[in-house]
Amino acid sequence: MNLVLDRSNPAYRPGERIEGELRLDPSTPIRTLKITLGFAVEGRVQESDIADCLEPDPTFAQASRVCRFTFIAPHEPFSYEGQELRIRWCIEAEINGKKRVPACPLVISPTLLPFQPPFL
Amino acid sequence: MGLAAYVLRMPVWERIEAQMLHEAVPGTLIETKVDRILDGRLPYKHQVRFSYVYSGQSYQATGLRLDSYFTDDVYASWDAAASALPSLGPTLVWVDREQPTNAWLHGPSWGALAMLLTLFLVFCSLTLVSLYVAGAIALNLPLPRIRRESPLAQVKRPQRTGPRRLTSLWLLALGFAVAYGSFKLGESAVYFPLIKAESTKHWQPHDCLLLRAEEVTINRHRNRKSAIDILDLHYQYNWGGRSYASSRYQYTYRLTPRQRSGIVRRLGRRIGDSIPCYVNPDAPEEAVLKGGISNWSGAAVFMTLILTLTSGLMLIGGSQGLVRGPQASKPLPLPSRTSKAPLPKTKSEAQATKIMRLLARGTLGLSCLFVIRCIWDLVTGRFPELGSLAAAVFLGMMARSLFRFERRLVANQALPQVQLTGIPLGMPRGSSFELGYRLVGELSPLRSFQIQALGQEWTDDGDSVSERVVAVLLDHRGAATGSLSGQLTITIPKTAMPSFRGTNARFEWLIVTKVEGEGQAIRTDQHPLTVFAMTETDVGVTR
Repeated sequence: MNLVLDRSNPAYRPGERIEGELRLDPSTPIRTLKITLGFAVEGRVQESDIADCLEPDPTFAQASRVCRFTFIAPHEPFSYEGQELRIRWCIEAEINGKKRVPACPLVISPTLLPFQPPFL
Repeated sequence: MGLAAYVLRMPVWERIEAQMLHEAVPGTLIETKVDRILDGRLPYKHQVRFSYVYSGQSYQATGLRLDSYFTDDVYASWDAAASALPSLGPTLVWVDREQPTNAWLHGPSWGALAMLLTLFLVFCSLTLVSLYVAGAIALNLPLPRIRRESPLAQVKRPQRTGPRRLTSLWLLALGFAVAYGSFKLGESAVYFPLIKAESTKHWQPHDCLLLRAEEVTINRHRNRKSAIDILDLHYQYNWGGRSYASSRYQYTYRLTPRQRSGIVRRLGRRIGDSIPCYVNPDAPEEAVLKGGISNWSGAAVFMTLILTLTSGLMLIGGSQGLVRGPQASKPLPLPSRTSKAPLPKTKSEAQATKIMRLLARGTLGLSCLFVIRCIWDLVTGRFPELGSLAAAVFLGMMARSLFRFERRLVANQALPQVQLTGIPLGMPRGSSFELGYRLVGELSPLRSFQIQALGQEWTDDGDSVSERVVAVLLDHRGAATGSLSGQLTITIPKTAMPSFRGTNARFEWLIVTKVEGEGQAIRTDQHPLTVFAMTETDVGVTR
């Protein structure tokens, strides 16, 4: 199983569509399926938050072996690579409440690059 | 929790626990003596032997007391040791119910119960704190710490002030524990020596035969390498047809090494001679070579007073909290985004200056006392004690630092205050705003005035902060006359990182004003500015 984004360079401007597909293993029975878009704050502290969550029909996904998804890139926070903290976006699929398949990191930024330590 | 568990494993806990299982039965004291030892915690050791009957069976034992923690006196003298022993004959014996072969002459004391109470309080406090922290982490609740809120979260709500009833109860319990501790300390180190020292004025001068005067080293703890030097005196005298022995030089909490070596040097030459001493006519087993009060007793009085004062404050605070209970404070006004001029000198600043001045003066006073002590030593032909010299120098330097800090506080308060107008609560990227500034107050001490834009990353792990001055918006150097005011147009570029606030991390923008005066006086004020992720175009603003 793997998550594949449509863009080879996973950078998105706020408001753009983030599209991709989850390719499923036919031998694994699927009872529940969740695909989430979230960000993680990394650094001396770790925290994360979910921006959006999709729950596709597991039966249909199992039958088709491919599950397509679409998110709208949120307007905040932007991807950031600072000194004390970093903000990284990520899409993750959760299968049967346990198995996690990530696609990280995405860049969500108006410049298509992570913001750097402050500048005006 | 670990510490609490460790505390609970302490031997004293076992002793206290053991005391609960003991029973007092009649017995007979057969033999008592005092042995002089140099390798234990005490220079003298009581030896007792007694017999008793328990459950119809006769036993003999030699245990003296269970809880000696509060009565061990490393400076105990021979006469005190001897007088502490009970007379031969019928006595009460405390027997271990489970093992009747173990018995002691002295039962549980208030000292043990005080230790039990203190341990209980420590255990409960640690457990509560640990549970609270663990719960907060598990439930992802914010731990109590001082945070600077973002501008939108700056609306302060009415909050309850004054201690809660449970806190007051804890405070009262701790107050009682500290009061008891200070009483026990005072009893052994202050009141008893002081009363005894006072009573020696009425004792009878007598002749004593000096047998021993030397300094010896003993170990304070059997299993640790913690040695201490003590004065080992021994002299004999006859009173009322009976012979007595004593080892007390003076009633004091302790003798300094210098005093001790002086006594040994002076008396060491008179071993076997008859020397003057003072005998208590009412209790002839008590004798001293020197009457009066020692300096160490004065130091112990000071320590006891501090402890008593602390316990008093705890008791008063706890009682008031219990009587009044928590009270709701008045609602606080909403913060204004325009600082008002002139800003009054805040109460906390004035209090800080006052406290600093008091501290500085107090420290200087103490330093002077040590200086006077050194001068007095020189006048009386002695070389000043190194400890007094060091204390005088150290306290003098500390007083100097405190005075300098106090002057800096005063200088900071004399600096002109900055009034900023027009700081928005939040701005989209790419937008502009007009920032008005005005310096209010005396401008003569001004050396420089800056307005900066500061980007700050902040994480909750030990409050680690990474700051970067992004732009100096205004840089005024030198003194100013009349008034200093103006307006700046600040544009937030589209490339500026928007403000971000997570649970444990945040990124924020600050407008910082920095006023620098003479003598390193600096006043810095920060004004948070929220930068929205959206641009003006995103929200439909056209110019």
